[in-house]
Amino acid sequence: MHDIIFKMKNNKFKLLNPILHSQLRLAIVSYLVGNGNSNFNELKEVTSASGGNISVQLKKLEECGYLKIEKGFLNNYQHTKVSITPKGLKAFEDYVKVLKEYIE
Amino acid sequence: MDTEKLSPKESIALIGQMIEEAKARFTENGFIYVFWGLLISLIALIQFILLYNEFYAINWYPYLAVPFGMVFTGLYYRKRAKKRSANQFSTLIGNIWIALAINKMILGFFFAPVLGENLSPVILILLAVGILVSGTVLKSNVLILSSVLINIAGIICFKVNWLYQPLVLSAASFIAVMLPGVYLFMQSKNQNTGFVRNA
Repeated sequence: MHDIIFKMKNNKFKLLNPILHSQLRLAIVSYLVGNGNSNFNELKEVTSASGGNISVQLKKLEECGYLKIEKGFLNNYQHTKVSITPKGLKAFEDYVKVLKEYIE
Repeated sequence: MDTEKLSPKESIALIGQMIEEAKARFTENGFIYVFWGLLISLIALIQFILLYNEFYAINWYPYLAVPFGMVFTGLYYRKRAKKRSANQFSTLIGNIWIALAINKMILGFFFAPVLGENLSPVILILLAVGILVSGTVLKSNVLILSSVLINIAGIICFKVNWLYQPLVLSAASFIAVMLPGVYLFMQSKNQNTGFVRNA
């Protein structure tokens, strides 16, 4: 497991958002940044993660206010719509900014 | 995929991969272009045969298949929506095609006497606009080229004798809508877009 605090070139330490710094949660948020919104089955398909794992991570991201989850029905099938919130988008942008700073 | 922590480089790679995945999934498999290209091509060809044989009163009857085509298209995309969520691009394309289809139907069924010989060229130019928007959003040079060809066909149609206008429409639909649809279909079949497969 990697540390989530990285020493920058100027000897300052920057913290990578621990909520986003997880493979599955980052994959979900990145996909939503690219697509705008998605649904449970699609996220399951693109990440190849189990339904249970996706549910847990979606709940965490929702609790942080990064995602909006709407449960309903589409053509008589249960449908869970997931979309990224402005707060989630900002968190993602900040995360990428820190990553870039580290790599540069 | 689990909740394992990543190195910064792995994070960047994962972000890029997921954004590419989102982009790749927003592709058109070409089916709807094949369907409409063939349908309009056949309808226009039948209309030409009717006009050529002087069945003037019923020459527009083949166009009654268009509303059925629209219903089929609606059902097709409804089925697809179960598997794929709409994004801003698919919504944009969908709305543009709905607006164009409704306007073309209104022009064809209610304003044909007003437009007279200009109906087919106007329909072709509207079709070219729709294909151009789709081609631009899908970044498909084949569709962009098709839109140019359809636009040229539309302009040519203004100068063509009214009897042969349906033939131009038929040929344009076959060459510039159906054939690109087949190309997109083949491209979609060969495309490897799965995250697991890319991983």
